[in-house]
Amino acid sequence: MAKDGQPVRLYVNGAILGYKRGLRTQNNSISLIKIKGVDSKADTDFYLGKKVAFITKASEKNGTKYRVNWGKVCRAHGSNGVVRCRFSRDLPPQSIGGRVRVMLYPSRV
Amino acid sequence: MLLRLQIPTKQTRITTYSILKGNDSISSKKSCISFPSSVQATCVLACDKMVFKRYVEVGRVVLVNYGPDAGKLATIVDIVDQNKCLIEGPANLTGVERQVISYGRIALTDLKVKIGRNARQKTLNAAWAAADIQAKWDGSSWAKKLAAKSKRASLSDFDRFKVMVARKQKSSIIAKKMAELSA
Amino acid sequence: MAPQLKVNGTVGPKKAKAPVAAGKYYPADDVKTPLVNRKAKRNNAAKVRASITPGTVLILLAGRFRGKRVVALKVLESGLVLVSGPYKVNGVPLRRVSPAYVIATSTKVDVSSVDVASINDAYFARVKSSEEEEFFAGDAPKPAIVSDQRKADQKKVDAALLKAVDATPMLKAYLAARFTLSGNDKPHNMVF
Repeated sequence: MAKDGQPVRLYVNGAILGYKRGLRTQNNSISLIKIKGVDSKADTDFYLGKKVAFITKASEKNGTKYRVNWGKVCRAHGSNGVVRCRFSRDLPPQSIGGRVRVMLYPSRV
Repeated sequence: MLLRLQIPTKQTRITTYSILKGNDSISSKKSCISFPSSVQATCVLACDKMVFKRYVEVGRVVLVNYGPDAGKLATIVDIVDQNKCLIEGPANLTGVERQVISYGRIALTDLKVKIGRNARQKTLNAAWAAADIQAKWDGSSWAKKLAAKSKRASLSDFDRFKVMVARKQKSSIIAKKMAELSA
Repeated sequence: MAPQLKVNGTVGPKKAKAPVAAGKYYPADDVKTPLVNRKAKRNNAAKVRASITPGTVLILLAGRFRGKRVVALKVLESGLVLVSGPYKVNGVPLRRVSPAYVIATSTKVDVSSVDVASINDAYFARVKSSEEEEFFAGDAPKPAIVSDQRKADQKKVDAALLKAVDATPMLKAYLAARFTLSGNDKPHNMVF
Protein backbone atom coordinates (compact mmCIF):
# COMPACT_ATOMS: atom_id res chain seq x y z
CA MET A 1 0.00 0.00 0.00
CA ALA A 2 1.20 3.46 -0.82
CA LYS A 3 1.54 6.13 1.83
CA ASP A 4 -1.72 7.78 0.91
CA GLY A 5 -3.68 4.61 1.53
CA GLN A 6 -4.30 3.55 -2.03
CA PRO A 7 -2.17 1.14 -4.03
CA VAL A 8 -2.50 3.36 -7.06
CA ARG A 9 -2.94 7.09 -7.32
CA LEU A 10 -5.71 7.95 -9.71
CA TYR A 11 -6.21 11.54 -8.73
CA VAL A 12 -4.36 14.81 -8.94
CA ASN A 13 -3.77 16.94 -5.88
CA GLY A 14 -5.32 20.36 -5.68
CA ALA A 15 -4.86 23.21 -3.23
CA ILE A 16 -7.78 25.19 -1.83
CA LEU A 17 -7.04 28.85 -2.41
CA GLY A 18 -10.19 30.38 -0.92
CA TYR A 19 -13.60 31.37 -2.10
CA LYS A 20 -14.66 33.22 -5.18
CA ARG A 21 -14.74 36.78 -3.98
CA GLY A 22 -14.70 40.44 -4.65
CA LEU A 23 -13.02 43.09 -2.59
CA ARG A 24 -15.66 43.05 0.12
CA THR A 25 -17.88 40.10 -0.73
CA GLN A 26 -17.19 36.44 -0.90
CA ASN A 27 -19.16 33.60 -2.36
CA ASN A 28 -18.84 30.66 -0.01
CA SER A 29 -20.52 28.26 -2.39
CA ILE A 30 -17.73 28.46 -4.91
CA SER A 31 -14.21 27.47 -3.91
CA LEU A 32 -11.12 28.20 -5.94
CA ILE A 33 -8.83 25.23 -6.45
CA LYS A 34 -5.35 25.19 -7.90
CA ILE A 35 -4.69 21.80 -9.48
CA LYS A 36 -1.10 20.64 -9.42
CA GLY A 37 0.63 20.96 -12.77
CA VAL A 38 -2.16 23.00 -14.32
CA ASP A 39 -0.84 26.42 -15.23
CA SER A 40 -2.97 27.66 -18.08
CA LYS A 41 -6.60 27.99 -18.96
CA ALA A 42 -6.13 25.54 -21.83
CA ASP A 43 -4.95 22.91 -19.36
CA THR A 44 -8.06 23.22 -17.19
CA ASP A 45 -10.26 21.89 -19.97
CA PHE A 46 -9.34 18.30 -19.08
CA TYR A 47 -10.57 18.78 -15.51
CA LEU A 48 -13.93 20.44 -16.17
CA GLY A 49 -16.69 18.31 -14.64
CA LYS A 50 -14.25 16.13 -12.71
CA LYS A 51 -15.20 15.09 -9.19
CA VAL A 52 -13.28 16.64 -6.34
CA ALA A 53 -12.97 15.04 -2.91
CA PHE A 54 -12.28 17.01 0.24
CA ILE A 55 -11.26 14.40 2.77
CA THR A 56 -11.22 14.96 6.53
CA LYS A 57 -10.49 12.75 9.47
CA ALA A 58 -13.06 12.51 12.22
CA SER A 59 -14.41 10.09 14.79
CA GLU A 60 -15.35 6.73 13.39
CA LYS A 61 -18.73 6.58 11.77
CA ASN A 62 -20.11 3.97 9.39
CA GLY A 63 -16.92 1.99 9.82
CA THR A 64 -14.58 4.68 8.57
CA LYS A 65 -12.52 7.45 10.15
CA TYR A 66 -12.66 9.55 7.01
CA ARG A 67 -15.39 11.79 5.77
CA VAL A 68 -15.59 13.01 2.24
CA ASN A 69 -17.18 16.16 0.93
CA TRP A 70 -17.68 15.67 -2.78
CA GLY A 71 -17.70 18.45 -5.28
CA LYS A 72 -16.99 19.05 -8.88
CA VAL A 73 -15.01 21.33 -11.11
CA CYS A 74 -17.34 23.92 -12.66
CA ARG A 75 -15.14 26.09 -14.82
CA ALA A 76 -11.83 27.85 -15.12
CA HIS A 77 -11.13 30.88 -12.96
CA GLY A 78 -8.90 33.33 -14.74
CA SER A 79 -6.23 32.26 -17.17
CA ASN A 80 -3.61 30.69 -14.92
CA GLY A 81 -5.09 27.28 -14.38
CA VAL A 82 -7.19 27.93 -11.27
CA VAL A 83 -10.64 26.32 -11.32
CA ARG A 84 -13.93 27.03 -9.60
CA CYS A 85 -15.49 24.13 -7.71
CA ARG A 86 -18.80 23.57 -6.00
CA PHE A 87 -19.12 21.11 -3.15
CA SER A 88 -22.18 19.33 -1.82
CA ARG A 89 -21.51 21.18 1.43
CA ASP A 90 -19.60 24.43 1.18
CA LEU A 91 -16.00 24.04 2.24
CA PRO A 92 -15.28 25.32 5.75
CA PRO A 93 -12.93 28.29 6.11
CA GLN A 94 -10.29 26.22 7.91
CA SER A 95 -9.97 24.18 4.72
CA ILE A 96 -8.31 27.12 2.97
CA GLY A 97 -4.74 26.15 2.20
CA GLY A 98 -5.70 22.50 2.46
CA ARG A 99 -5.75 19.73 -0.07
CA VAL A 100 -8.35 18.15 -2.25
CA ARG A 101 -8.19 15.22 -4.59
CA VAL A 102 -9.22 15.91 -8.14
CA MET A 103 -10.37 12.56 -9.49
CA LEU A 104 -10.04 11.49 -13.11
CA TYR A 105 -13.75 10.77 -13.47
CA PRO A 106 -16.18 11.40 -15.07
CA SER A 107 -13.78 10.72 -17.90
CA ARG A 108 -14.02 12.20 -21.37
CA VAL A 109 -11.01 10.50 -22.87
CA MET B 1 46.22 17.55 -13.67
CA LEU B 2 44.52 20.68 -14.91
CA LEU B 3 42.93 23.13 -12.55
CA ARG B 4 40.95 26.14 -13.61
CA LEU B 5 41.06 29.44 -11.80
CA GLN B 6 39.41 32.71 -12.56
CA ILE B 7 41.51 35.68 -11.60
CA PRO B 8 40.64 39.26 -12.52
CA THR B 9 43.79 40.84 -13.93
CA LYS B 10 44.83 44.46 -13.79
CA GLN B 11 43.13 45.16 -17.06
CA THR B 12 39.89 44.14 -15.32
CA ARG B 13 39.40 41.42 -17.85
CA ILE B 14 38.54 37.97 -16.70
CA THR B 15 41.35 35.63 -17.50
CA THR B 16 41.45 31.92 -17.16
CA TYR B 17 44.58 30.32 -15.87
CA SER B 18 45.35 26.75 -16.50
CA ILE B 19 47.52 25.52 -13.75
CA LEU B 20 49.81 22.66 -14.46
CA LYS B 21 50.87 20.66 -11.48
CA GLY B 22 54.28 19.16 -11.07
CA ASN B 23 56.78 19.19 -13.89
CA ASP B 24 54.47 19.09 -16.87
CA SER B 25 56.01 20.69 -19.90
CA ILE B 26 55.20 24.30 -20.17
CA SER B 27 55.17 26.11 -23.44
CA SER B 28 57.69 28.87 -23.37
CA LYS B 29 55.44 31.24 -25.25
CA LYS B 30 52.97 31.37 -22.38
CA SER B 31 53.85 33.86 -19.69
CA CYS B 32 54.43 32.42 -16.25
CA ILE B 33 53.28 33.92 -13.00
CA SER B 34 54.57 32.95 -9.62
CA PHE B 35 52.46 30.66 -7.52
CA PRO B 36 53.14 28.65 -4.36
CA SER B 37 56.19 26.52 -4.96
CA SER B 38 54.32 23.28 -5.42
CA VAL B 39 52.23 24.62 -8.21
CA GLN B 40 53.54 26.20 -11.31
CA ALA B 41 51.04 27.93 -13.44
CA THR B 42 50.87 29.00 -17.00
CA CYS B 43 48.64 31.80 -17.95
CA VAL B 44 46.52 30.98 -20.93
CA LEU B 45 44.65 33.95 -22.11
CA ALA B 46 41.32 32.38 -22.79
CA CYS B 47 39.18 35.40 -23.24
CA ASP B 48 37.64 33.99 -26.39
CA LYS B 49 36.26 31.09 -24.39
CA MET B 50 34.50 33.25 -21.87
CA VAL B 51 32.50 35.68 -23.97
CA PHE B 52 29.25 35.42 -25.79
CA LYS B 53 29.38 33.54 -29.03
CA ARG B 54 25.82 33.91 -30.17
CA TYR B 55 25.03 37.41 -31.26
CA VAL B 56 21.84 39.03 -32.39
CA GLU B 57 22.95 39.75 -35.93
CA VAL B 58 21.66 39.57 -39.44
CA GLY B 59 21.83 35.94 -40.53
CA ARG B 60 21.66 34.45 -37.02
CA VAL B 61 19.42 31.39 -36.95
CA VAL B 62 17.01 31.47 -34.02
CA LEU B 63 14.44 29.17 -32.46
CA VAL B 64 11.03 30.70 -31.88
CA ASN B 65 9.80 29.71 -28.43
CA TYR B 66 6.51 31.50 -28.02
CA GLY B 67 3.31 31.97 -29.98
CA PRO B 68 1.90 30.08 -32.94
CA ASP B 69 5.36 29.53 -34.45
CA ALA B 70 6.80 28.08 -31.24
CA GLY B 71 9.35 25.36 -31.94
CA LYS B 72 10.19 26.53 -35.47
CA LEU B 73 13.49 27.81 -36.76
CA ALA B 74 13.86 31.27 -38.28
CA THR B 75 16.58 33.65 -39.39
CA ILE B 76 17.18 37.21 -38.29
CA VAL B 77 16.87 39.38 -41.37
CA ASP B 78 17.04 42.81 -39.80
CA ILE B 79 17.33 44.45 -36.40
CA VAL B 80 14.50 46.79 -35.52
CA ASP B 81 15.71 48.08 -32.15
CA GLN B 82 17.04 46.76 -28.89
CA ASN B 83 13.80 44.92 -28.21
CA LYS B 84 12.81 43.38 -31.47
CA CYS B 85 14.07 42.16 -34.79
CA LEU B 86 12.73 41.09 -38.15
CA ILE B 87 12.77 37.35 -38.75
CA GLU B 88 11.80 34.98 -41.49
CA GLY B 89 11.97 31.18 -41.61
CA PRO B 90 12.49 31.11 -44.67
CA ALA B 91 8.73 30.67 -44.77
CA ASN B 92 8.71 27.92 -47.37
CA LEU B 93 11.18 25.83 -45.35
CA THR B 94 10.25 26.35 -41.70
CA GLY B 95 6.85 28.01 -41.97
CA VAL B 96 7.78 31.20 -40.13
CA GLU B 97 6.50 34.17 -42.10
CA ARG B 98 8.43 37.45 -42.19
CA GLN B 99 7.56 39.24 -38.98
CA VAL B 100 8.85 41.51 -36.26
CA ILE B 101 9.40 39.59 -33.06
CA SER B 102 10.60 40.45 -29.58
CA TYR B 103 13.90 38.98 -28.42
CA GLY B 104 12.12 37.43 -25.47
CA ARG B 105 10.32 35.12 -27.85
CA ILE B 106 13.35 33.76 -29.63
CA ALA B 107 16.41 31.78 -28.58
CA LEU B 108 19.67 32.26 -30.44
CA THR B 109 21.38 29.19 -31.88
CA ASP B 110 25.00 28.61 -32.84
CA LEU B 111 24.06 28.62 -36.50
CA LYS B 112 24.47 31.52 -38.87
CA VAL B 113 23.91 32.11 -42.55
CA LYS B 114 25.56 34.64 -44.79
CA ILE B 115 22.95 37.12 -45.93
CA GLY B 116 22.75 40.83 -46.37
CA ARG B 117 20.46 43.03 -44.34
CA ASN B 118 16.80 42.66 -45.28
CA ALA B 119 17.56 39.83 -47.67
CA ARG B 120 14.65 38.54 -49.69
CA GLN B 121 13.31 35.03 -49.34
CA LYS B 122 15.10 33.73 -52.42
CA THR B 123 18.48 34.82 -51.08
CA LEU B 124 17.63 33.41 -47.69
CA ASN B 125 16.73 30.05 -49.19
CA ALA B 126 20.00 29.93 -51.09
CA ALA B 127 21.96 30.84 -47.96
CA TRP B 128 20.21 28.09 -45.95
CA ALA B 129 20.98 25.56 -48.64
CA ALA B 130 24.58 26.71 -48.88
CA ALA B 131 25.14 26.50 -45.13
CA ASP B 132 23.16 23.26 -44.84
CA ILE B 133 21.36 24.72 -41.84
CA GLN B 134 18.55 22.21 -41.49
CA ALA B 135 20.92 19.24 -41.37
CA LYS B 136 23.23 21.03 -38.94
CA TRP B 137 20.29 21.86 -36.70
CA ASP B 138 18.90 18.33 -36.81
CA GLY B 139 22.34 17.06 -35.82
CA SER B 140 22.66 19.35 -32.82
CA SER B 141 22.02 17.98 -29.35
CA TRP B 142 19.55 20.79 -28.73
CA ALA B 143 17.33 19.66 -31.62
CA LYS B 144 17.72 16.04 -30.59
CA LYS B 145 16.56 16.84 -27.07
CA LEU B 146 13.55 18.72 -28.40
CA ALA B 147 12.70 15.83 -30.69
CA ALA B 148 13.01 13.33 -27.85
CA LYS B 149 10.79 15.47 -25.66
CA SER B 150 8.02 15.71 -28.22
CA LYS B 151 8.36 12.03 -28.99
CA ARG B 152 7.91 11.17 -25.34
CA ALA B 153 4.89 13.43 -25.07
CA SER B 154 3.24 11.68 -28.00
CA LEU B 155 3.64 8.18 -26.58
CA SER B 156 0.49 6.25 -25.78
CA ASP B 157 -0.09 4.46 -22.49
CA PHE B 158 1.05 1.15 -23.98
CA ASP B 159 4.18 2.81 -25.40
CA ARG B 160 5.01 4.30 -22.00
CA PHE B 161 4.70 0.82 -20.53
CA LYS B 162 7.11 -0.56 -23.12
CA VAL B 163 9.59 2.23 -22.39
CA MET B 164 9.34 1.48 -18.67
CA VAL B 165 10.09 -2.22 -19.27
CA ALA B 166 13.00 -1.40 -21.58
CA ARG B 167 14.43 1.00 -19.02
CA LYS B 168 14.24 -1.66 -16.32
CA GLN B 169 16.01 -4.14 -18.57
CA LYS B 170 18.73 -1.63 -19.32
CA SER B 171 19.39 -0.82 -15.68
CA SER B 172 19.42 -4.49 -14.70
CA ILE B 173 22.04 -5.18 -17.36
CA ILE B 174 24.12 -2.25 -16.12
CA ALA B 175 23.76 -3.33 -12.49
CA LYS B 176 24.84 -6.86 -13.34
CA LYS B 177 27.88 -5.61 -15.23
CA MET B 178 28.80 -3.25 -12.44
CA ALA B 179 28.55 -6.05 -9.89
CA GLU B 180 30.79 -8.16 -12.07
CA LEU B 181 33.38 -5.42 -12.38
CA SER B 182 33.44 -4.55 -8.70
CA ALA B 183 33.65 -8.19 -7.60
CA MET C 1 -71.52 24.60 -28.84
CA ALA C 2 -69.01 26.06 -26.49
CA PRO C 3 -65.50 26.64 -27.70
CA GLN C 4 -63.48 23.56 -27.01
CA LEU C 5 -60.80 23.99 -24.45
CA LYS C 6 -57.69 22.50 -25.78
CA VAL C 7 -54.70 22.07 -23.57
CA ASN C 8 -51.67 22.26 -25.71
CA GLY C 9 -48.43 20.69 -24.64
CA THR C 10 -45.44 22.88 -24.31
CA VAL C 11 -43.73 21.03 -27.10
CA GLY C 12 -43.53 22.56 -30.53
CA PRO C 13 -43.70 26.09 -31.80
CA LYS C 14 -46.59 28.14 -30.57
CA LYS C 15 -48.97 29.15 -33.28
CA ALA C 16 -50.70 32.46 -33.20
CA LYS C 17 -54.36 31.71 -32.70
CA ALA C 18 -57.28 33.83 -33.78
CA PRO C 19 -58.91 35.32 -30.70
CA VAL C 20 -61.94 33.26 -29.72
CA ALA C 21 -64.93 35.01 -28.32
CA ALA C 22 -65.59 33.96 -24.73
CA GLY C 23 -68.44 31.55 -24.71
CA LYS C 24 -71.31 31.40 -22.33
CA TYR C 25 -70.61 27.93 -21.16
CA TYR C 26 -67.56 26.27 -19.63
CA PRO C 27 -67.30 22.75 -18.30
CA ALA C 28 -67.52 22.85 -14.53
CA ASP C 29 -64.58 20.54 -13.98
CA ASP C 30 -61.14 20.96 -15.39
CA VAL C 31 -60.40 18.33 -17.93
CA LYS C 32 -57.14 16.79 -17.01
CA THR C 33 -54.81 15.87 -19.77
CA PRO C 34 -51.84 13.71 -18.96
CA LEU C 35 -48.52 15.46 -19.01
CA VAL C 36 -46.22 14.64 -21.82
CA ASN C 37 -43.73 12.08 -20.63
CA ARG C 38 -40.62 12.97 -22.52
CA LYS C 39 -38.58 10.23 -20.96
CA ALA C 40 -40.80 7.47 -22.28
CA LYS C 41 -40.21 8.65 -25.79
CA ARG C 42 -36.48 8.30 -25.47
CA ASN C 43 -35.86 5.03 -27.19
CA ASN C 44 -32.52 5.60 -28.81
CA ALA C 45 -29.69 3.30 -27.97
CA ALA C 46 -27.27 4.65 -25.41
CA LYS C 47 -24.38 6.52 -26.92
CA VAL C 48 -20.84 5.94 -25.80
CA ARG C 49 -17.99 8.22 -26.79
CA ALA C 50 -16.19 7.34 -29.99
CA SER C 51 -12.93 6.39 -28.29
CA ILE C 52 -14.56 3.33 -26.72
CA THR C 53 -15.03 0.57 -29.27
CA PRO C 54 -14.98 -3.23 -28.99
CA GLY C 55 -11.32 -4.13 -28.46
CA THR C 56 -10.22 -0.85 -26.85
CA VAL C 57 -8.00 -1.22 -23.81
CA LEU C 58 -9.60 0.73 -20.98
CA ILE C 59 -8.16 1.95 -17.69
CA LEU C 60 -10.63 1.58 -14.82
CA LEU C 61 -10.69 4.67 -12.60
CA ALA C 62 -12.78 3.70 -9.60
CA GLY C 63 -14.02 0.72 -7.66
CA ARG C 64 -12.12 -2.32 -6.46
CA PHE C 65 -10.48 -2.79 -9.85
CA ARG C 66 -9.22 0.79 -10.10
CA GLY C 67 -6.06 1.17 -12.10
CA LYS C 68 -6.57 -2.12 -13.95
CA ARG C 69 -6.25 -2.21 -17.69
CA VAL C 70 -9.03 -4.21 -19.29
CA VAL C 71 -10.39 -4.96 -22.74
CA ALA C 72 -13.75 -3.55 -23.84
CA LEU C 73 -15.89 -6.20 -25.51
CA LYS C 74 -19.09 -4.40 -26.41
CA VAL C 75 -21.44 -1.62 -25.44
CA LEU C 76 -24.60 -2.91 -23.81
CA GLU C 77 -28.08 -1.49 -24.29
CA SER C 78 -27.96 0.24 -20.92
CA GLY C 79 -24.92 2.27 -22.04
CA LEU C 80 -22.56 0.28 -19.85
CA VAL C 81 -19.49 -1.30 -21.37
CA LEU C 82 -18.87 -5.02 -21.14
CA VAL C 83 -15.24 -5.68 -20.24
CA SER C 84 -13.00 -8.58 -19.44
CA GLY C 85 -9.55 -8.42 -17.87
CA PRO C 86 -9.06 -11.10 -19.18
CA TYR C 87 -9.66 -12.77 -15.82
CA LYS C 88 -6.61 -14.94 -16.17
CA VAL C 89 -4.32 -11.98 -16.77
CA ASN C 90 -5.39 -9.43 -14.17
CA GLY C 91 -8.30 -10.89 -12.27
CA VAL C 92 -11.02 -8.71 -13.78
CA PRO C 93 -13.97 -10.94 -14.74
CA LEU C 94 -16.64 -10.32 -17.34
CA ARG C 95 -18.09 -7.15 -15.94
CA ARG C 96 -20.08 -4.09 -16.79
CA VAL C 97 -18.47 -0.68 -16.26
CA SER C 98 -19.74 2.84 -16.71
CA PRO C 99 -17.92 4.68 -19.49
CA ALA C 100 -17.62 7.71 -17.20
CA TYR C 101 -15.28 5.75 -14.98
CA VAL C 102 -12.81 4.57 -17.61
CA ILE C 103 -10.04 6.12 -19.65
CA ALA C 104 -10.02 4.82 -23.20
CA THR C 105 -6.51 4.22 -24.50
CA SER C 106 -5.49 4.18 -28.13
CA THR C 107 -4.42 0.53 -27.83
CA LYS C 108 -6.74 -1.93 -29.52
CA VAL C 109 -7.08 -5.69 -29.29
CA ASP C 110 -8.66 -7.65 -32.11
CA VAL C 111 -11.84 -9.04 -30.53
CA SER C 112 -13.56 -10.16 -33.72
CA SER C 113 -13.11 -13.78 -32.64
CA VAL C 114 -14.63 -13.21 -29.20
CA ASP C 115 -18.29 -14.17 -29.08
CA VAL C 116 -20.23 -12.16 -26.52
CA ALA C 117 -23.59 -12.11 -28.33
CA SER C 118 -25.28 -14.01 -25.53
CA ILE C 119 -24.19 -11.60 -22.83
CA ASN C 120 -26.53 -8.69 -22.21
CA ASP C 121 -27.74 -6.59 -19.29
CA ALA C 122 -30.14 -9.30 -18.15
CA TYR C 123 -27.19 -11.65 -17.83
CA PHE C 124 -25.92 -9.54 -14.94
CA ALA C 125 -29.27 -9.19 -13.19
CA ARG C 126 -29.09 -10.19 -9.54
CA VAL C 127 -30.91 -13.28 -8.42
CA LYS C 128 -33.13 -12.39 -5.51
CA SER C 129 -32.99 -14.81 -2.66
CA SER C 130 -36.21 -15.19 -0.76
CA GLU C 131 -36.64 -12.73 2.08
CA GLU C 132 -37.25 -15.41 4.62
CA GLU C 133 -34.02 -17.10 3.80
CA GLU C 134 -32.18 -13.84 4.14
CA PHE C 135 -33.76 -13.13 7.50
CA PHE C 136 -32.67 -16.42 8.98
CA ALA C 137 -29.21 -16.11 7.50
CA GLY C 138 -28.74 -13.09 9.76
CA ASP C 139 -25.71 -10.92 9.46
CA ALA C 140 -23.34 -13.74 8.66
CA PRO C 141 -21.35 -12.75 5.61
CA LYS C 142 -22.34 -14.80 2.64
CA PRO C 143 -19.58 -16.30 0.58
CA ALA C 144 -19.56 -15.03 -2.95
CA ILE C 145 -20.70 -17.79 -5.20
CA VAL C 146 -19.88 -17.63 -8.86
CA SER C 147 -22.29 -19.65 -10.91
CA ASP C 148 -20.99 -22.37 -13.16
CA GLN C 149 -22.61 -20.60 -16.08
CA ARG C 150 -20.49 -17.52 -15.46
CA LYS C 151 -17.35 -19.57 -15.02
CA ALA C 152 -17.97 -21.34 -18.31
CA ASP C 153 -18.66 -18.07 -20.12
CA GLN C 154 -15.55 -16.50 -18.65
CA LYS C 155 -13.46 -19.41 -19.82
CA LYS C 156 -14.92 -19.29 -23.30
CA VAL C 157 -14.46 -15.54 -23.71
CA ASP C 158 -10.98 -15.54 -22.20
CA ALA C 159 -9.80 -18.38 -24.44
CA ALA C 160 -10.55 -16.36 -27.56
CA LEU C 161 -9.42 -13.10 -26.01
CA LEU C 162 -6.10 -14.48 -24.78
CA LYS C 163 -5.30 -15.69 -28.27
CA ALA C 164 -5.76 -12.15 -29.55
CA VAL C 165 -3.75 -10.69 -26.66
CA ASP C 166 -0.87 -13.09 -27.20
CA ALA C 167 -0.64 -11.99 -30.83
CA THR C 168 0.85 -8.64 -29.75
CA PRO C 169 4.14 -8.83 -27.88
CA MET C 170 4.14 -7.37 -24.35
CA LEU C 171 0.41 -6.75 -24.43
CA LYS C 172 -0.23 -9.42 -21.82
CA ALA C 173 2.24 -7.86 -19.39
CA TYR C 174 0.68 -4.47 -20.13
CA LEU C 175 -2.79 -5.70 -19.22
CA ALA C 176 -1.42 -7.32 -16.08
CA ALA C 177 0.15 -4.08 -14.89
CA ARG C 178 -1.82 -1.42 -13.09
CA PHE C 179 -2.03 2.17 -14.22
CA THR C 180 -1.05 4.80 -11.71
CA LEU C 181 -0.13 8.44 -11.72
CA SER C 182 3.33 9.05 -10.36
CA GLY C 183 5.52 11.99 -9.55
CA ASN C 184 4.72 14.91 -11.74
CA ASP C 185 2.51 13.11 -14.23
CA LYS C 186 0.08 15.50 -15.82
CA PRO C 187 -2.95 13.57 -16.99
CA HIS C 188 -4.17 16.59 -18.92
CA ASN C 189 -1.07 16.45 -21.12
CA MET C 190 -0.86 12.68 -21.41
CA VAL C 191 -1.80 10.77 -24.50
CA PHE C 192 -3.58 7.54 -23.65
